[in-house]
Amino acid sequence: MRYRPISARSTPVLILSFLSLLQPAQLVKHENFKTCSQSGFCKRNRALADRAQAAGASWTAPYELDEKTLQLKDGVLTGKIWKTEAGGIELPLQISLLENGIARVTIDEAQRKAGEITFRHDSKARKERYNEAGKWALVGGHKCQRTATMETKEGVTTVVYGPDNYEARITHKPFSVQFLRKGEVYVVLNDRNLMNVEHWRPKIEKPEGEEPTEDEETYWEETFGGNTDSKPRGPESVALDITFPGYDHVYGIPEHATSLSLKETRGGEGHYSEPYRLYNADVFEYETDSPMTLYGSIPFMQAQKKGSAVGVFWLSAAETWVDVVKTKQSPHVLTTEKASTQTHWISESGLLDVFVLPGPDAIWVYRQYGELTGFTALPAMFSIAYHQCRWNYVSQDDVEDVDRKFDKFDIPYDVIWLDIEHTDGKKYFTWDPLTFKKPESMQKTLAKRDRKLVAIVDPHIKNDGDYTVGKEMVDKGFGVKDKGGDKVYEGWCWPGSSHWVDCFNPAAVDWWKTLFKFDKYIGSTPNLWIWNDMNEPSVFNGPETTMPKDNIHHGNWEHRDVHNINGMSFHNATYEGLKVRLGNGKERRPFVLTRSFFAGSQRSAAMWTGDNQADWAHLQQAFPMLLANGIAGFPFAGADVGGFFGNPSKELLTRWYQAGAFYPFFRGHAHIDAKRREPYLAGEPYVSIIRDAIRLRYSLLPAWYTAFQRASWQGMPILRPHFVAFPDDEAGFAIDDQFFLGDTGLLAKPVVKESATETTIYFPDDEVYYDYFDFSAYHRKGHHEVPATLEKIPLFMRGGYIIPRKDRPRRSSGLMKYDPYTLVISVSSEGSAGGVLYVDDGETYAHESGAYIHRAFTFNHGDNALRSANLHPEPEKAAAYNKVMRSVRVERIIVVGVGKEWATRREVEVKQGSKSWKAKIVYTEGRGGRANTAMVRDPKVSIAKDWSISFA
Amino acid sequence: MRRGSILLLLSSASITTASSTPRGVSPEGTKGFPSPNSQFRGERDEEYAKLYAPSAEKTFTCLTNPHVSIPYKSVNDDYCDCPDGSDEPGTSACSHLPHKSLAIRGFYCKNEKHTPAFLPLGRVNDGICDYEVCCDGSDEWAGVGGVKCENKCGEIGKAARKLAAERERLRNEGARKKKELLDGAKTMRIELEDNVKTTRVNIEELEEKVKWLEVQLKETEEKERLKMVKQPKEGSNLGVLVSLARERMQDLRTSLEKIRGDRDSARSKLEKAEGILKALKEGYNPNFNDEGVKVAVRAWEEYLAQEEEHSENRAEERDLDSLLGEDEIDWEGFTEVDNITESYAPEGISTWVHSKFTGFRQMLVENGLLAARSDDGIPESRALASARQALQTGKTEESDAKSRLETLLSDLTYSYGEDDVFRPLKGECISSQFGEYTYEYCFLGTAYQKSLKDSSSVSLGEYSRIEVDKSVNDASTRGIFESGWEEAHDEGLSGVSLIHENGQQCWNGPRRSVKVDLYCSAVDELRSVKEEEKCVYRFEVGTAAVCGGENVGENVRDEL
Repeated sequence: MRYRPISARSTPVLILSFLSLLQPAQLVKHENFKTCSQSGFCKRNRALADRAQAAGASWTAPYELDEKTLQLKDGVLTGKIWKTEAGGIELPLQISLLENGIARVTIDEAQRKAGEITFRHDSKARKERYNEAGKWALVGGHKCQRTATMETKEGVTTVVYGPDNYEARITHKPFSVQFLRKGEVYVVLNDRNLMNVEHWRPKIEKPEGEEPTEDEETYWEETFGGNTDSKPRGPESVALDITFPGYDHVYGIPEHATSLSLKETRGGEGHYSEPYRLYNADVFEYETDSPMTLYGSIPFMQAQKKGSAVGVFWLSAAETWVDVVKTKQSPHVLTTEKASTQTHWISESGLLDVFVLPGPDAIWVYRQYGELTGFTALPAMFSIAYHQCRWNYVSQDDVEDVDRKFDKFDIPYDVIWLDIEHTDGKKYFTWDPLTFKKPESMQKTLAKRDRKLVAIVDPHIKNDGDYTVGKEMVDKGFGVKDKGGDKVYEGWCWPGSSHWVDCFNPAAVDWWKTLFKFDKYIGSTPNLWIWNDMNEPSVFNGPETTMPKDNIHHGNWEHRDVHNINGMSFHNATYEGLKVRLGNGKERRPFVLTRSFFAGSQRSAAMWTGDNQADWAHLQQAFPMLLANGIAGFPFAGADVGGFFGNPSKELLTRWYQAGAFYPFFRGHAHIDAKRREPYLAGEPYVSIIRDAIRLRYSLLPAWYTAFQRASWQGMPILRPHFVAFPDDEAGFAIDDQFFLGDTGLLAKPVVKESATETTIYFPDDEVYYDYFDFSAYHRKGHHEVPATLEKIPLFMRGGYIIPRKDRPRRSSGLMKYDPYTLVISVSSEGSAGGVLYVDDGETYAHESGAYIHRAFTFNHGDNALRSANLHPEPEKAAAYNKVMRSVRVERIIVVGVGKEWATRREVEVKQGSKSWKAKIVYTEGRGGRANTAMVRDPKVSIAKDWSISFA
Repeated sequence: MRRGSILLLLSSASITTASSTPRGVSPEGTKGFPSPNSQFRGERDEEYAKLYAPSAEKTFTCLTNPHVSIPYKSVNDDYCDCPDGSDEPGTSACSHLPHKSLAIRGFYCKNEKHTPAFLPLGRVNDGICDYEVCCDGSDEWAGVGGVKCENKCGEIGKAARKLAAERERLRNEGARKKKELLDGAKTMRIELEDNVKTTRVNIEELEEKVKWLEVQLKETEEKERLKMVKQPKEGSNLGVLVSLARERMQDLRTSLEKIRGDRDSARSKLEKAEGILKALKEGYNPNFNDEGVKVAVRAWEEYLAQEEEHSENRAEERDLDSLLGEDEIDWEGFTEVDNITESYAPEGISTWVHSKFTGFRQMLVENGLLAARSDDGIPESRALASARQALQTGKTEESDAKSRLETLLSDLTYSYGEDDVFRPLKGECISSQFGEYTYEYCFLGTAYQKSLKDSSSVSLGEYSRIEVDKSVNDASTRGIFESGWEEAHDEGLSGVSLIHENGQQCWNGPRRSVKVDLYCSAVDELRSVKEEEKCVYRFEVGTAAVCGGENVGENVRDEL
């Protein structure tokens, strides 16, 4: 049953191999989830790939572009592809050349577009191939390169477009497309002729005695785990192979518990034998190091080679499988040719719709992808601070007790969470009348220290005649329908018998939004935010723990067509509801956590990696997963600190807090059967170490917030893998256990191994790296053994950065608003440094109208001075906010890595506006390999103003 | 002003309020300060305050880092100069220092009209009026974010004093109650000890009596035996033995048959149960996240792995069949042998054989293979019967007395806490309603959860032991910062807990258990019930048994 080879294997990357060694006993129920061979369309397309490979050069593909039909107008090329089977099937082709250099290739099916077909079982499902995924996933991609030109020669049409004269070379017979930049091919579509569009056909009953072909066996009906999919439309998959010539690493297509650099999937040592699967599902006790599907999916892939990155985005909401293989590097020693990565994308239904992102580097790829699917929403400040969760805090007293204990143990936290047990019988928007009698007063208590409450609201609505929400939903027809298309679908989840809200229906969304109004959600206050769980959707008695594929959604789309978007449609609706509940002009940035997600989820939610386990393997697995999410445009991501299932040892818990302090979304959580593990319960020395880790997060919140702002603006990941920060250093391309934090130059490698006292860190260049805590200096590119005893987080400052932080631990982030800053300057080997700080009110949308501070700090760029310069493009719009913030000062500047000549300095000259004054400076000589430091004592410069400090 | 205020206030040199000591400095010294670093523990107040007076050179010396001396104007200038934080008692500037490095207890709030208190440094000027500690609002002197904290010490002090007085009254009442408990416990112990003494005497007497009765019986038996040997025999003893053995055999056969039947029905039940588990394993839904089901499935898999094919063992069955069939022993033959030995042997040999047989029988009887002689059907003499009866009665009385003594002794040595304080409470029950349940607790007995819906009752555990956690009031347990008034409403826990275990098994979890945390209360009461983890309960129970002595007023002030 198991498809993953268990045998010991060596992988080229050390990190990956210990991941698999420490793997716990496999608990996931493989038999509950399909392998490729159990999923008809995947099996058929993989078989096609096998046939193609066996045939080699003699393989012919039945897809031909009709040259006569080609037209280029306003940056959109249209034409017809003929599938030369079954008497010729017309497939309309459209290639849109977008302004930012992206090319979108869309292939439809004419007979279905025209509706000239019939479905079995009198199905009400729509005739067209699903063409609305873009409506949910995309916010951009509408503007085309009107200046694009086309030339056809000898069966090849070349389109030139874009600012850098990108080229798309379209071969007509068989159809394939090469994308070139500066004469170099970076992506090829249908390179291997694995393209497949399964056209509609009527079912023809075989004469008695004649066996169906292997393919035909899975055309019409599929049964898995006792559930039968009626498949009224028959076979309709789309597949395409995509080659990245010379790119030997690919990343992305979350969510999988696997390494950041994707492994091959066609067997062999160190490889998987199953494709990566994207079919959002509630995978109970998921295992590490596996291509199995998980809760969310983003069909975006980035390919990387030395100095270049490109991307593809496969826009399908249907079940999708992706095979990855790499061509062997040429055995000739003298060649410089690199391995290429070949991928094979297979989706069950919908359009064939693929975006090619030209890069040319990661920064551009993320920007291009963000322009398509939207950038991550700038979160409220509290939501990137520490969250305390448990299934379940059992009563109001319990909540207030935990709240008090955090204060008594001097551990900051911002948000406490309520899981499903807080409701009255799993009816969302209600409170248990016995255990949560006065929810408003509880929220008021939390609000006293500017803390928040998050309560859970899931998409399964209890089937209970006395439950207003459920009754309204069914009466108004807002529930998902069964395969007949008329009756509301009924399945099982937490409340028992339930219905599912259909957020593909705009009217249902409008209704859902009203449920968050304070007069509807009784007991809620503006201090309450929402957790959307189980939105894959999880259906306990459904096929693969989710909804039958032949269920019918709004617009008569089959669930099969929209499945992977279901979770996003739901958390989007929640987000909208929360945003408007205070009324016009009073909007607060909503916080919504989702388990299921799709491309575009970043615009309205944060995600976490679902139900992980309290073991070291899952702690190790979290960073690769979060990094993958980050480069796929959804960086607001975290994993349950401590591990959801099971009981972590105190060491594991402590290490998990140290790691969690570097999760963009930082939440401790525990299963209902797990022992209590609030950080103050761990006993010494653990409590103090955990407190330090959480305090470190709070201290660095200004840097985290600045990183989030960059993500919300340009799509740069918060946690940056080595291949993003050092795209020319191939040695770093597979590293996924250390990373950089935003633009701070901070390189972190939190310990994820048991009983560690030291760890090996990789420095990607010869720049100096300072230990964040004791300023030990490292000067050489390569691997270094560094201390990593329990109280130590391996964290380094790359020379050349200025890190903003706040050194006043408060009870919650809200209470730090007006606290003074500390600037840490890590001086580069050349003697200079720079950094960025973004500040706004952290909760409203005032920043959208310019109420924010954006500063650039530079050190010793020519004149031995530290300067603060304004990055705000329209400073006048920030005037009012600056006034509020002008008294917020820089209280301390720590210069790390100064020369001995600083020893004699006593004072520095401070200039701000027309005034100038002196501030003290204290030099400390570094001993035992530590850097010399100098500390400027309270320069009293304002964070909102231009100023300079001269060290000359 | 509001937000502009910090810099303003800071630049206007910060140091002093109206009084001569800097803001946030306690005139009381560091009394009660928890840091082991503090060298000022117990130092006299005026000396401590003096440390904050400017030196002749207008400098300030860090309290525990005397080599660091800073200009006096740097005290409370919102910048942390001293590694022990002592230069910033009135601001939050040193709040980032590790707790163990701090030489000051926090920000000192005078709280006139109430009790002075220390606020953790990180809570100074954070925009929150921390009235639970600083009722005078002095912690928010910078007006961060526009906050203004009016002095509420008047009302808060009044309420707190009322509360303290009430608390003191309750504690004194508790102390009185405790004395009653202790008196009661003492009386009970004396009674017990008396009882032990009496019982011991009684046992001695009974032992004597039994000895005498044994002698009596032996004598009677001897007489009877001599009589018996002389009597002519009706049937040979061997014959009796053989027929007894035969009977016995038949009994064994019958019960073997029954056991075999029981085994077969148990086996079919097991098959049924295994079928259920098999179905559970195949059909369970892992997404119910049900630990119990998971444990069951895993245990089932382990069980399967260990279990050998328990196909029915044919050989064993055959053995059983033959055992149950007619036996091949020639019982009649044995009787004959008996007859031969008994009838044809010379007198001496006959007596010898007889005594051997008697010995053998004795052995069989002693080993439980043969019933005692009284079943032989040979009637006993009245004298023998009554002697035996008397002895039996005597022995019963003796063992009753002994077990009574055992009970008394174990009760006497049983741990009822210090001075037996819980002894009088044993068996006392209290109950209280929380959520959808009524919880009943019987001291040193059982705790129950009774559903209000279906009146079902579940045992949460039986008393097993006392636990004393001396750290209950330590920083490691209570937190490093003292509590505010909001918590002072409830009497604090004593650190004494009664542990109850082995309650009803949770169908999807462990056996239920309860830790009963005790606090001082004049009346027995159940204040709170929590199920912090599945099936692990915590009760807070008030009882006078853990009250202190009288006049506990001092503690009250400490807590506030």
